[in-house]
Amino acid sequence: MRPVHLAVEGLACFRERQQIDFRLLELFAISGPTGAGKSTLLDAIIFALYGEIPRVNFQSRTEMISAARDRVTVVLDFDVGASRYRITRVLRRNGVQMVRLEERDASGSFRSLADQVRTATDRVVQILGLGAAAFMQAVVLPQGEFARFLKAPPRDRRSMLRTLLRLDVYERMREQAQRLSALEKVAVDSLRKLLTDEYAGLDESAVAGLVAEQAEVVESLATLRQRRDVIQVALARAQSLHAKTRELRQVETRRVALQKQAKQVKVEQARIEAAARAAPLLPLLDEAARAFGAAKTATHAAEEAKARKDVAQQEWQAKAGALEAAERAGKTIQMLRVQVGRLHQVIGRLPEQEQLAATLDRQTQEAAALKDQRTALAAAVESALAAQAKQEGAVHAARQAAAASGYDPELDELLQTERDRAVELGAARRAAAERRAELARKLEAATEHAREVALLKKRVESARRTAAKAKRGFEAAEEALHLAVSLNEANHLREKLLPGQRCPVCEQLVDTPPAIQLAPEVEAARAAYRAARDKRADAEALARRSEAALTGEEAQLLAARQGLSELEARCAEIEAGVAAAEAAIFQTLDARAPQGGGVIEAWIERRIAALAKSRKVNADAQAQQAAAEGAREKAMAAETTARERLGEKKTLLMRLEKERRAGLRRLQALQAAVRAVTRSADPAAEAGALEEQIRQIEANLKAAAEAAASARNRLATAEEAQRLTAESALTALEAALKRAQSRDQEIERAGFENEAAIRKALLDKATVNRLEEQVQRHLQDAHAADARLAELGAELGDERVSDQQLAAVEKLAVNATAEVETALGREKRLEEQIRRARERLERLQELREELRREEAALHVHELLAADLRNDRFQAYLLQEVFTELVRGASARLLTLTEERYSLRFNDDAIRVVDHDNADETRISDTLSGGETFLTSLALALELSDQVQRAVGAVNLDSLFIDEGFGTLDPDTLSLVSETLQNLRIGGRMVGVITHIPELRDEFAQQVIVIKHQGYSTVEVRGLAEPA
Amino acid sequence: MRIVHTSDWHAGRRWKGLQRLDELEAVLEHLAAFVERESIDLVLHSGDVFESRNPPAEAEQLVNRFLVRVGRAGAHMLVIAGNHDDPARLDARSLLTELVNVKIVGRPRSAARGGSFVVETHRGEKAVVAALPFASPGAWVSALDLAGDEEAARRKYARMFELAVRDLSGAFRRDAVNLFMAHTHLEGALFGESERRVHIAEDWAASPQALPSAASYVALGHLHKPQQVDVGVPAYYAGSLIQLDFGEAGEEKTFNVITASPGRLGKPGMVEKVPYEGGLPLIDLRASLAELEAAADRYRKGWIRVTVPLTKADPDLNRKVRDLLPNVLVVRAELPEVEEPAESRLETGLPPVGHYAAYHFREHAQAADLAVLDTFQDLYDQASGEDQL
Repeated sequence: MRPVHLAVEGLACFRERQQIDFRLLELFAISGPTGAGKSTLLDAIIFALYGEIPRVNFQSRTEMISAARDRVTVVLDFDVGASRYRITRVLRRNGVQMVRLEERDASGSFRSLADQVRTATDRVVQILGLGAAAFMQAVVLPQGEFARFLKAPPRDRRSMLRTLLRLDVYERMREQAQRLSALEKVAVDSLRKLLTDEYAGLDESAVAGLVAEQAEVVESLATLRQRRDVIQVALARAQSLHAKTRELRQVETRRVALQKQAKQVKVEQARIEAAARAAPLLPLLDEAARAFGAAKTATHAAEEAKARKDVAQQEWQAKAGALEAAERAGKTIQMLRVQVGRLHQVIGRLPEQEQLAATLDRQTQEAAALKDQRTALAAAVESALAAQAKQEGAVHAARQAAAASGYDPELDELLQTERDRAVELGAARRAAAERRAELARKLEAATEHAREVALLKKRVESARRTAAKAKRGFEAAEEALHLAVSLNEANHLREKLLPGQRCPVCEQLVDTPPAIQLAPEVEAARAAYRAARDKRADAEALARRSEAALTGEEAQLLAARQGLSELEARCAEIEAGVAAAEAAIFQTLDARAPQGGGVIEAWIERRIAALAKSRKVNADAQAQQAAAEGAREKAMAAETTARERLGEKKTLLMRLEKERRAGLRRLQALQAAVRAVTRSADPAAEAGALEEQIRQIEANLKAAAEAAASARNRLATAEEAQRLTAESALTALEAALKRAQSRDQEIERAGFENEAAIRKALLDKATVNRLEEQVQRHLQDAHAADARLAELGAELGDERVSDQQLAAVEKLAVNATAEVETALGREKRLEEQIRRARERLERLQELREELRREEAALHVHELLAADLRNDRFQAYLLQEVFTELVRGASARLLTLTEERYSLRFNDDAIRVVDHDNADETRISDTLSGGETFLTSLALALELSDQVQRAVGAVNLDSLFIDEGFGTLDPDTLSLVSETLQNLRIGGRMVGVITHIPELRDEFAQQVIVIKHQGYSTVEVRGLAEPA
Repeated sequence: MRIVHTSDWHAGRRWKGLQRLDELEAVLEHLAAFVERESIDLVLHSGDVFESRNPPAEAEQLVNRFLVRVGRAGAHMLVIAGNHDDPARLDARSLLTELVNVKIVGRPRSAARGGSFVVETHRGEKAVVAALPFASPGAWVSALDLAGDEEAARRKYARMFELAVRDLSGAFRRDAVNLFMAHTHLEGALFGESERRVHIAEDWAASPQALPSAASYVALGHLHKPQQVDVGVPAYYAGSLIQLDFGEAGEEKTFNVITASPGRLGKPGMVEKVPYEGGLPLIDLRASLAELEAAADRYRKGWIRVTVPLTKADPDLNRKVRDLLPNVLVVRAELPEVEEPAESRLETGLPPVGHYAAYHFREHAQAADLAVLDTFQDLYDQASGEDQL
């Protein structure tokens, strides 16, 4: 498994999307300040693969979502072998998780493998061969935890080791086994109790007894049913006879009652006859009553008409009074109209009056303004006069200052013209001096040179003498060499000359050989000759060089002397020029020229400087005078202007006053005219009010006339109505009396006493019908009772059944039925008992089986619970696994440290063996920083490997080491970085999580987590760019 | 023109508790004096100036002092980064050292981007130097290549090396001394014990045939044993300044002095080996305590590894040896081979249920029922499942 690319967004501090491309990373540091989120990068990888976040439990993992984000999204591409996978996981704040696992196919596009949370995680476990916990243990090396483990007090080590090796799983297993065995113990006990308490004596024979009893009951049941049926038939006959007997008695009773009712029926018949007589008289009674009612109504109407007439009369009188009052008021209208006419005349003049008043106001204001202006102008004249006086004084002062400056303009001009000439003069004077100095210097140099030339001449002579001497020496040496050579040759030949033999050269017979001469050594002579030759050559060369040098120097000396005389002539020329210029200047200056000594051009410069100063003072004073004069002129002009304007304002004011007085008189006249007509402030409003008053009076008059006319009409109508109603009331009363008379005659003829008797005899139709029906029914009932009595007597004869007789028969029948029911119930109960007994038998078998199983499980769990105790299997495994771990780690350590350190584990402690120090061993808590690091790294690496081996996982091509050091001393730092470099064997990707800058800087590749305000970003540094 | 070739200083190296800065100082003093005395025109350093990317200040001081001294003496100097150096830091240092004519190349670059230089001596002779610093496999081969076919990745690395050599040696001229510098491991060269192993694995070696045939001299760095590489041009590893590990005990450490003159391309220079002076020897001894005591005076100078043959363990051996010779770095006790009791230990990497089966057999003297083992596995799955969720 090798991560290829990681994108994370919304996880803890990685609020914004962060990406890391792992493809080019091999050995790198993951670095950043504490709390920046170094470990969160690993969390993201593990979350992508397994959907859980290390160190955070499952329920609260949504709290790892960044603040202000509603989801975390992680996309991880990773390689396993030659396959590339991509897993995308999204976890929302509401806990909903989405996942997609894809594999890249040959065409390079991703194909979905799973998109369900459970199946995807299962596939990941299948692909990697590791679950989440094992993956974390194998990929993220808890080097720091081992380091702590090595340094921890002995009593803490065992529990740390248990955690590191994940042995707590066995403690959980033991607890579970114990829990299960306790449950099983309870189950076994209760099963046993159940079997003894509830199922004792239960077997097949008990069931067989029940079956026989059931057969007996079935047999007796048939006999009982037969008897019951016979009794039922007898009962039916007895019931029929008993019912007829009862009816006969009832009919006899009824006939006696009917005979008692016959007298009452006759009375009813008489009532019906009287009612028939009374009925035709009723219309007459009603007609008479109606006539009297009509008369009464007419009388009442006549009274009402009279009352209305009285009301109308009162009203008319009131309206007539009102009309009279209105007519009196109408007489004032004429007077009011005259006053309105006068007011309208006054109103016409009001605008003129207002205009006049406004004009007067304006004129008054203008006059006031003119007066103010007049005052201001007078003040201006005063101040202009004062300014003139002041400026006069300033002009005077400036004139005095200019005179005091002592400036001489003539001299100034003269000196300015002479200045250029003076400057030239100065330059010429300096040039003359320089030339003179140069001349002296060169003269001295020429003298020196001449001395050197003389010296050289001496040297040349000496060289010539040395050369001559060397030449002589050489000639002597040459001669000596020749002599030596010839002597040696002679001696050589002499050796060959033997007496009596021929000379080998001249063929003459040798008489006696010449005596051997002492010959000098030829080589020495040759050396002397060579030395002499070299010496001569050197001496001659020296002489030649000296001569050449002398010649050169002499020529130079000559040239220098010529140069000197030219320089002398030039000097004299310049000095003459200086004298002439000086004379010219003196002439120009004439009397103003300085009398004392000193250089004229310096004097000119000084004078010019002095003049410049006084010229400036003079110029300033003149400028001030001019300014003061200007100001005085201005003040005079201002005075004149102010005086002119003052005159204008006075004329204007006088005219204005005249106009105003005329206007005032006209206004007073107008106001008097108005006051003659009215005292009111607003005549127009008064006129309006008077006109309104006139309109009101006219309207009132009209309304009163109309009201009086209307009241008079209403009175006439009411009088007519009263007359008509009185007549009709009289007619109605006469008609009523006539009808009453004819009614009374008819009553007498019908035989009734009076009207009341008739009304009493009257019966309504419904009552008549009811009475007739009652009479009819009585007659029918009497007849029916007689017929039924005869019928029943014939049917019964003398067979009559009493209540007691019937009750006895009924009791017999009930008893027989009950016996049958009882037998049936007994049969059913027996059948149920048999079924239950059979079921219990089956259950008994099951329970026995269950007991057997529980006992077996109890045995196994008790065994495991005992074995898994921490002093038994756990201790064994701790020892076993840890021994194995130390053994593997030891081999790794030897490699990592180039055969220096290995590990030994005994007496419950890890010891480091130092092969560089005669196999000295050190107990783990006395190790140095470097040794602790190496040991813990070796243990962590081995643990990773063992975890993978134990589950047969795929090869993990990536490692993350959490170094977990607080600080590193330089020695340890160097050791750590050297060792880490050695880890990257076989192209494995190694990431080292560190917050120590020195350690980080040992890595060319760095993944830096940068902490910002409230969030972090990731940056990859140091990927080598291609050459 | 006279040229000195030095290499692999590893300044600031910590080794068995030593930093050996005194020795480094002495050797560099000797080398600097040589350069001054012999009026050397050009000094080549073929990489691994420092031991680590983040060297101690004392080491930096020694190196800087040398660079300034050589530059002041009138010699030009060229340095390339080795696998131990931080290339970016060396590039940064170059900005200053160029003030004294010392040019440092940290990261590999093409001739066009400053990978080669023309140096002119005060006599007017010209040299062209093509410099190829160490290129990590990661710089030239991506992890993807690695994950795919390792063999192809190796070929790619060698190919990149060839391309770089071809590009850089394109700057060679007829009228100059042509020099090539590289920090790499060439196939067939010999290495000692002190090189960083991961980089010198044969896998990442470059081919000697890739070296430019037009060079008058090829200055190589990376291997600590001074040696000539058997190839058509004069190509040499200068080796380290001092013996860096006991594997190099007895080895003479030298630098090369090359005399070369401008002329046609490929005209070889004359090479002379000069020993470094000032380093202490490393000594690998095998001796009993008695022998050591007798010969102690012969071993007062140098750093020593002693292997002491023993018949039985001596817990005080380390102290005894170090009392005799304070300059002993490593004491190895050599005991007769003891046959460790072959414990009936089970194979490593057993699954938990396997461990339990073993325990059961040992504890109850009988093999566990299958039911027991199944129950164990169930409980285990259940308990580790709790881990997962």
